[in-house]
Amino acid sequence: MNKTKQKFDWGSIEWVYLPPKNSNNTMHVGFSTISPHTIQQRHIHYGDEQLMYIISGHGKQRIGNKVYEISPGKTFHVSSGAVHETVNNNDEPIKKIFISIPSSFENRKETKTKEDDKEILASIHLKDILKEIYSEYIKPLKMPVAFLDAENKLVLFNGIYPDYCNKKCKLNKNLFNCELYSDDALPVVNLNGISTDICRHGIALFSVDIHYQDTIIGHIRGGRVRVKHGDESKDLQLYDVPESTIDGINNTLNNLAFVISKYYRLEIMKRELLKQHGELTEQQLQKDILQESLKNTQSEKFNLQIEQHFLFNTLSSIAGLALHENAITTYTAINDMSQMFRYTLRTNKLFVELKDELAYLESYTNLEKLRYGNRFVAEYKIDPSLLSERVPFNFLEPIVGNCIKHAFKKQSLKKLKVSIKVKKLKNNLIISIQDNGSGFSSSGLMKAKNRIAGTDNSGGTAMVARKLESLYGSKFNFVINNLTTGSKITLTIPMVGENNEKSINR
Amino acid sequence: MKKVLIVDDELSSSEIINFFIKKYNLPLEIIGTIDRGDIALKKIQKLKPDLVFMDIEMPGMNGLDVIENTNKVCSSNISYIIITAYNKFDYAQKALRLGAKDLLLKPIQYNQFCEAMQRVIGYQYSANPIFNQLLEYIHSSYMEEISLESCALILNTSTTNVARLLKKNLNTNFTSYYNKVRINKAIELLETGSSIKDAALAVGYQNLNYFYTRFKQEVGITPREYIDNKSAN
Repeated sequence: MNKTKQKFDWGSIEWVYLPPKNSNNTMHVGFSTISPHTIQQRHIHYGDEQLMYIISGHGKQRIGNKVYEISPGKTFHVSSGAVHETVNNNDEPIKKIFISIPSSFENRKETKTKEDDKEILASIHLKDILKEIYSEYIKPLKMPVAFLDAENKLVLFNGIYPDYCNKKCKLNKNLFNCELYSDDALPVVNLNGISTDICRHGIALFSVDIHYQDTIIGHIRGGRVRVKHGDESKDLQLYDVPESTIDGINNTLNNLAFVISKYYRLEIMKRELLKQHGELTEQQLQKDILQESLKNTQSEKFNLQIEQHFLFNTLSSIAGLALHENAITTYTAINDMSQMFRYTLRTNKLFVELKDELAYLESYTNLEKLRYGNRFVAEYKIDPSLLSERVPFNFLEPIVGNCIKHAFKKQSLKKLKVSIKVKKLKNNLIISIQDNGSGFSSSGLMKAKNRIAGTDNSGGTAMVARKLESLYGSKFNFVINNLTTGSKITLTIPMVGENNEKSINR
Repeated sequence: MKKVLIVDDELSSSEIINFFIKKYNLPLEIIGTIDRGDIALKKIQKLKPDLVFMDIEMPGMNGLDVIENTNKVCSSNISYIIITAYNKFDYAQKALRLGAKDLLLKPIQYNQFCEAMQRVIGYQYSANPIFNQLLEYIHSSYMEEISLESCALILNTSTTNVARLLKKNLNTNFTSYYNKVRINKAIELLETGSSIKDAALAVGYQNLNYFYTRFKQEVGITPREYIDNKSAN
């Protein structure tokens, strides 16, 4: 602390306490004297906060937009970044004690950046980070700051300049009017431990690096203050501003760099978290698929398991034999049967197109016709626009099968007609299977309803109900009605979108 | 008549196909049935059939390997239709990669058989044997100067009857169907890199101007534009 007294055009500052370098202390304490009939011009303590106590003298103190009378014993507080000006219009000097507290900043450790993090770092744009911190950290600054990326490209500047710079170089028109932003590099000096560029008009521009651990992300340049060269040497002296200002600037810039690096850390953590979340979602998806495949297997238990190669070759042999003997009906029946077997064996899908399910049902009703001849008629009334809709695999044949089975138990029945209708209502498919049999007996109806409700799990009705349950949850309807002649079963199932199905059907 | 070879280790397929040929008077001639893959490999090269129905699981050699090996030594135009008891995706995939036209599941059904045959011969068999003969004649003689009269002569019927068959089954007349077949063949040739002039001559157009007119009528663009579009894609 050899420089305890600084002289200015307007007076002097005598430092009482300056914090030693590399200490955690930041407070500066000094006596300042403003000579009679002088003005300590409007200036801003960019990075520091000041408290002053007037010992003697009279004048005017402007802080921000307000003007106060100076008289002994008065205390003034100047917020960081507030414009202030002291006017001594008297014959007596104004003497004040002032305490200046530069913004402090934490020293960070220089740890090595992990290779993985470096990759993520490269994908983060400084501009995006600055956007995030702009309203909280950059906008309130009343000092000039500009942010450059690691390649020294200008990313953002706040456009605040001292009047001096605006007058001399018209920085308000264009930042690049400043020779410190020209390509011709000017010698960098070290002023109070901060890397500083000084233009030929004596304006010092300070710069700090933005680090993420040991990786440089970019630079901040800011805080233009006037300095003047000493006559003999290259010693630099502050002109117009107290030395604590530089510390304040230094700290502000370092704080900013620190905040930015924290936000980088945050961003990296966010991305790592998202990645982990992505993996978690993937795990959940796998679990869901497993569950679905279990359902799949359960429904497959109801389908015939047989050695396929043997089965179809045998059926083919019988078909060939039939044709050899010119038995076309037999050949057709064997084809229908093969179609049915192919259908039940081929698919591990939970959903099929309506037309496939109907083709299967038709093969089945064809075979039943073979058995009952003219006593059985199957009638199909299908809205053709619905043929490609997704429906559960094998859910109609058990119901139609029940109709036929129960109807022909009664000897009295002359002719059974089963009508299968499919239509659309809002986002549902309405599938009705109506027959002209004797309808359900009261005990039979109770039994069937128990099977739908799940209190009885035997038989085709229960199997279809369980299948619909596992595929649609509670979003389906399975209704049995007795008609004056026969019965009607109505299934209401939601129409499944292509995407929706994919997620269920793997 | 297309020469057909059936390769299957059991009789049923050839019995079923034979039945179809007889019943619908299909223009197909079965020149042999073979029940072993290794023998099929030799016979195919010797007999040079137009079409082979090929089973996959067989003694001696797998049917797909037979096709693969035949492709190596025999560059002649043999069409294959796979017949199999298995409905396996990887079979179908490999068969198509080897150039098979289609895959039929056992037992073979007539409508599926006809669909597969359409891929081979370019037209759909009908239930009318005379009409099948007519189509076979047009599709095998399109490069020659044939007419309604020559069709009638071949089928041993009247020109009115031929015209009626075409109108009834395809809702077209002889000239437009004849030209349609020719232009479709020309497109196949253009697709395989043939020049416009060669394609026109090969399908029977001596007059290049007429070819251009017909092509434009059929396809909507000129042969030149067709080639340009193709190379642009």
